[in-house]
Amino acid sequence: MIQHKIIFTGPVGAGKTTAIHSISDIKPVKTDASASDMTKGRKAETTVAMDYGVMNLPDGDKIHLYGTPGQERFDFMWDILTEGGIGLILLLDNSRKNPFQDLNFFINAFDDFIKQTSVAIGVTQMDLKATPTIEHYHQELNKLNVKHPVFAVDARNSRDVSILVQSLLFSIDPGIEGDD
Amino acid sequence: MKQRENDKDIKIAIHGVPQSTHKMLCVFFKQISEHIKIVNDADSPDVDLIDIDFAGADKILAKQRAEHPERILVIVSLKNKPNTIEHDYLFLKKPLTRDGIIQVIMQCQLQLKSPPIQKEIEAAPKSSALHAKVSPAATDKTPSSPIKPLENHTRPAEEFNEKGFTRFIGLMPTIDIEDPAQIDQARFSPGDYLLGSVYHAITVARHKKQALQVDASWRPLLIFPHSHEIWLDASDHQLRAFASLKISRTSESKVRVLPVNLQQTKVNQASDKFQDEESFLWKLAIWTSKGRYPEQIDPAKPVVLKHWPNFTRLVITPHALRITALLMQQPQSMLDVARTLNIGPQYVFVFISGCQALNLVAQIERKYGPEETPKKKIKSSGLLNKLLNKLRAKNHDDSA
Repeated sequence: MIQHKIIFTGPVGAGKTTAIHSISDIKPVKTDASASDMTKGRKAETTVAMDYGVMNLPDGDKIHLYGTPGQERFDFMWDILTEGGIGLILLLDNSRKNPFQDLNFFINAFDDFIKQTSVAIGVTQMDLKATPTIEHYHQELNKLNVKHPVFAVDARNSRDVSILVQSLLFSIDPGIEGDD
Repeated sequence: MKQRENDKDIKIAIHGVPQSTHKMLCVFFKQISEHIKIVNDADSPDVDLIDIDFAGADKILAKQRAEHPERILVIVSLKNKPNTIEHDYLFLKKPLTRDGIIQVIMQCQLQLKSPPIQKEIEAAPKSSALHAKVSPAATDKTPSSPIKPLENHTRPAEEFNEKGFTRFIGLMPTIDIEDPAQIDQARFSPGDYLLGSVYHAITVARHKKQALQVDASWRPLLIFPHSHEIWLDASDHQLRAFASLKISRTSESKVRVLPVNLQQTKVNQASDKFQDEESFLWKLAIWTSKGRYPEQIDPAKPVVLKHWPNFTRLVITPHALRITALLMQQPQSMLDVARTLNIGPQYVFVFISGCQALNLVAQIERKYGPEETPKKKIKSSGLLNKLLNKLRAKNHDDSA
């Protein structure tokens, strides 16, 4: 049976777990544990394996929501996770020291997957740190010669996350229209 | 003056008060604005606040001035403003009041952010959207105010389907895409409306790095270019009504763009009236458009979209995400977009109006001939459609 899934990725503390929680139909399965390495300064608990949530669709279809571990030492799992995925949601924490470095890192890390599918980028913590602005992120993406959706996102707000995921779907196929 | 870390925050060091008073003042300032930070002298404050009634305050004053002449000095006293202090300073009379503090903080912000005051506003870069007059005046150069809530900036987007959008925007005409006369009639000139005045004033304000006020014989509208905010003492309902009124035909001479004089505005009394500039312009543009397109955009020429609008902070017009995705794939004319997506052109027009207000669109010459066969409609994917419905239903549930 084909597993339909959307992958949520991004650095530690960007809000992947929260974003999955805000649109999942089940209470997400969390695999957080006490942080003991370089993540300790940013979060008391961090995702060491992956997060999992589900969206149940009519006719029994399911969309599985997977959050990648934020730490790079788990990047061996990313290829496995993305296999057969619909697309990628990249969450970036604007309050981190160098969010553009994160942007470039994750865009490069998931390059093949993005080329096969698409990506939508949500920038969190903009209320804590207003710069770089969304415009700056677009300028940074222009350097990579790509034009992905980039939105300011509050991962706790299901509407923000929903719009981000919708933009991913339309990027894959602008022809979808729903039942409005 | 050194570059400040955060333009919204203002760091104040309080000198010459007992510990208990210091604590009380910290609480007091925090209640006024979270952007006022009380810090220690070692934390490079922007402002030195000194209670001159305190024993030994004169020594503190002399020391602070000698070591940190670049900081703004605020003197606090029970007595009237002393004339024995030779330094430039701002004055706060005790007992301290909220209004008094706000006034002083605003003045501090002015000093921190403003380059030397210009007496005249020179011509701004030409805007095609407006003909409002810019009047010179010698007043405050205005910063962003720290005294306002953050809620407006994190307000989530509203997402509309066609039915809901009619309620939001008012009656919108249906346009027959195959009737050139109807298409031609669906154009509007932003310069005839408040939109044009605001757009032009924002251009001027950014160019001059100066806060400006648009006076269009309505409510004063203030533009704060440093913080990308608009201040307007009017409800959305009132704005929607005024946005659709032509103003240039009847009162062009009355539309003025003036420097902001903080003393004469009600900004301090209504700090909840600030709105994010981008969200405001977008909203104003779609209320002005009402399904029409700006005359600067040729409906038959391909439109290039610079990048995705920040949809989580904007009113999402019907089909806006689809239109954006299509235009990001390839520039197309507004009419071709409507045909490809099989939607009413009025929805493309209203969306492009918003994008134009945010400088997100440009036009290029058509690359293919008009005789070329119409584009194939894009085939929908069943699974993605179902997921889209699910996400939209979730949004409706959450807002119900």
